[in-house]
Amino acid sequence: MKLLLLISLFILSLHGQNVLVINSNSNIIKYNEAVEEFSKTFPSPFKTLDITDKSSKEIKKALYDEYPDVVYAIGAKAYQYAHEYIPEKEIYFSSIIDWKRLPTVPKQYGVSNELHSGMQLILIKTLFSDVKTIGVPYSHYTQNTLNDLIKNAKEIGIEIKAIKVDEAFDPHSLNNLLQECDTMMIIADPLVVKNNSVIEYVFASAKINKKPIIAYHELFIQYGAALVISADHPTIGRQIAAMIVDPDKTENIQYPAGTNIIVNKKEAKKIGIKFSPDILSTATEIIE
Amino acid sequence: MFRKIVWLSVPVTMLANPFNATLEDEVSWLKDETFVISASKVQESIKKTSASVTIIDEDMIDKMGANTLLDVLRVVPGLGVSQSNVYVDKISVRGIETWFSEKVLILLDGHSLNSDLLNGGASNTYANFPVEQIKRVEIIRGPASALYGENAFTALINIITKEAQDVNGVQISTKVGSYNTAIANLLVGKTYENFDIAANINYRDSDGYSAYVANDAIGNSGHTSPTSKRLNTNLSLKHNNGFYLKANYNNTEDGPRYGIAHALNNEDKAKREAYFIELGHQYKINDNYTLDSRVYHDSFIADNRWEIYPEGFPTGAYTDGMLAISGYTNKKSGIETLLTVKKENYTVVSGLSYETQRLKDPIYKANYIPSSGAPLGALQDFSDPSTNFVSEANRKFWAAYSELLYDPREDLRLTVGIRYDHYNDFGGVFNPRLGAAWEVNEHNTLKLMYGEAFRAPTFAELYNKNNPALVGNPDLNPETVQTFEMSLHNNSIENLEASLNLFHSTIDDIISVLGTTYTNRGTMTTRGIEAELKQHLHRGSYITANYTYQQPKNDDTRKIAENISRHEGYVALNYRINTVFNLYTDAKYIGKQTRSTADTRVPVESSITSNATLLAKDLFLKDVQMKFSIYNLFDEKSYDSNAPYDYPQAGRSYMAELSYKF
Repeated sequence: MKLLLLISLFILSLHGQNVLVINSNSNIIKYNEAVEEFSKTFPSPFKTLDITDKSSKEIKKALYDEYPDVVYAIGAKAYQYAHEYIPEKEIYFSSIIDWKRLPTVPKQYGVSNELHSGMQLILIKTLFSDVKTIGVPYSHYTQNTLNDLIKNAKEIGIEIKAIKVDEAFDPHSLNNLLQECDTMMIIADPLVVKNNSVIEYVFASAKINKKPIIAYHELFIQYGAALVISADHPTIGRQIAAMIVDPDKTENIQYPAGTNIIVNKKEAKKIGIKFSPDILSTATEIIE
Repeated sequence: MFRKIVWLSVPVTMLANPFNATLEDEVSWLKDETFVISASKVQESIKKTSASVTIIDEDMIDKMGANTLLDVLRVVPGLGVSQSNVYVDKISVRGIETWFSEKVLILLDGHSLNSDLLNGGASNTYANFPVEQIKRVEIIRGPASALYGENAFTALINIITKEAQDVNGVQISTKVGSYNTAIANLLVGKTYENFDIAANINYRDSDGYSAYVANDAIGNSGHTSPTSKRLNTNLSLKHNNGFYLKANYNNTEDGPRYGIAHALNNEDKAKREAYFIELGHQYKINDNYTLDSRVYHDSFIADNRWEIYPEGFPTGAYTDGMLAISGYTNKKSGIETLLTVKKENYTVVSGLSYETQRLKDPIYKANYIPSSGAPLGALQDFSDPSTNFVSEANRKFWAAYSELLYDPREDLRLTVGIRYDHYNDFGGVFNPRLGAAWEVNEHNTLKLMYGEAFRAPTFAELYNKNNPALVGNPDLNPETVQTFEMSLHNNSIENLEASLNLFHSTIDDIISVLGTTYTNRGTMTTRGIEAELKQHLHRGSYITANYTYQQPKNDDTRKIAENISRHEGYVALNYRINTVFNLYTDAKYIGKQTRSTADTRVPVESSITSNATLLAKDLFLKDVQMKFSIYNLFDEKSYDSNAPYDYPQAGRSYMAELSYKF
């Protein structure tokens, strides 16, 4: 009974808050998933603003007209507009690559797109004990992600060898890196993952060099990724809903709560990389 | 807890399609994440630009009730706007003011509007440029010749017009207001599959503020009659293959102000017709190299009728008054190519340009003998080269320039630029530019800047003749300026942006009249402070303020320049009342204005002029905007300091606007 009362009081307190969900682009599946899961979980009414085809002027007017107490900005575009025009409000974000690259607001909350790099590295070390050096191609979009990786890798005795790419990125430039490292890690970077031919080339080179590739998304399994450590994106929408409902009990910026770990045993065997027997208890999926 | 998936028996090709689709989704998301809003791009650019930049965007222009470019410029620190005795308004920068504002370069989407080659400057034609098509105005105070060449001397004003996607439809607006002012504007923007089109037509007709003068140069009293008519059309076409076409046509006709000899009259009429057409192409060689090329042609035709003195003056022999008709045509044609190389931590912009300038068909009629001023009884034609007021002239120049923007660290940008211009009439001139912009920490940016610039002598300064008071000098050299600036930008207080800028400029080889002849002589120094504050309140409401202290001094006479105020200030409140109404109020402070040492009159006292604009959007009908402005709200009596008498400024006046977008 007490619990019901508490929940009712809580929902009543949320009624005072005007929540606006801004979807950067309704053609992007990842953004839509976040909206969908948020709406399934969030206990109060909220409004949605789809800014896919809206001009800056229209978005500005909509934000000033709506003037929400709380904003859930899905994607970098939504976040930047919220930051630009209503920075004084509580802004929650998700689905943003390397969120630290964007300007901050005083009341900033969110779920990072990237998993905790320390957790990923420990997992890699646990599963592939022979891995001592990891090659990471990155760009200016993911500088902070790389910095976190380097910092955490040092603590567990792994060396990160990074190569910075730009708009004119030629995948051939990764050959040396593949030869120098025990494995290569593909992170969510718009200049690295820019099209199918780049990805095909990188994986083909990795096979020739007999180096496993660790990736951030399940889709890379089909190309031959040996290990995928990915965030469960629908979970993120639910996580944000929980953060808005109870902001006092959470960290301002959280890592994704749900993680998928897929081990491509078949590919690892082909390459000849040793993997730990702990694999059965750690992986959420194993490809034989 | 794990699922074991056996895919061994499934051919990879069967899986390829769904996975490829997923990669496409992933790439789409990643691309979407690279988005940067244009406002931030501009802010980031300002932060790193080695220049003192102020940007006024369309939103502020709309809300403040501005009608012309000059209304926009009056709110910029370091800039001032004042009347002259003839059809042209003057733009002063950091206390430096000239009749035709020829030390200021005005650009329209990067195209120079300084097409009056006789007098220099663009303010006589484009000061009343309509605001309806403006997306933003970028004002760079200080020299910019290292990139833009001649006339980017004390300031550069770049008018950026709305593109097709900014308009995305049709907008019709009409304005009516005091002094029988009527303005009509049609703005169109449409994006098609392969090309974008943006066009604007604006017509303005006004009787103007009729100022009362108690005692003019000949002892008469009366009112001015500064009527003005203007037609401006602008066209921008962009094809997705990189080609673009820009064109602008401007036709103005202005009536009498205080008179060329400060004698009130009702006959002065100044007609100017100007147009330009520019064809360009942007070729993206690859992600790092872009080649921009353009060719252009500009035309400017002036047709002036002057009543120098009214009937019976300066002597009784002038029964119809002392009359003159003057006219001329200017043509400019040019070509420019520019290569931009963008690498990880540096950008190099290098360009070559070539331009021909021509002054032709000068017309001169007068009812007096030009060289002596003796009366003739009726207008006679003096357009023969031996008696004309100016010689026909040609000028050619070529220029080569390069600028490096180098970011040795994420928080530091170094700028090094140099431009060489070679003119067939006065030779070559180098103009360097150096700057460093350092983000000291998250909240502070420090800039150090040095730049040089030049102003080419105008055709009037070179080739005026048969004039008893103003004779050209073909041996003139360009004026030059060296400017040091230091600025600090701070945003450590929530929602407050503050900046402080210190400047020191030295102008050498100033072109002025010695006796009756234009001569390079003297040096002038101007130094001062510009401070700006902007406090964002909520929901688009804000307070903005700026203050300028300027001290332009003639180094030879050690005297402060005349007719300027050392202190100027501006404060504005934009209050977004609700989803429909917005109120913008502002006040401009002009300090006590200086007089020349020979002028014993009491200086013009300080004044505060306030404006208010109430805007209503979607009130009765969706996409209909109504606006009502009151200028000089408290009917403050203020003057532009001048000799032999001060020019009164307009009292309280009104403007109402109705616009509809579909």
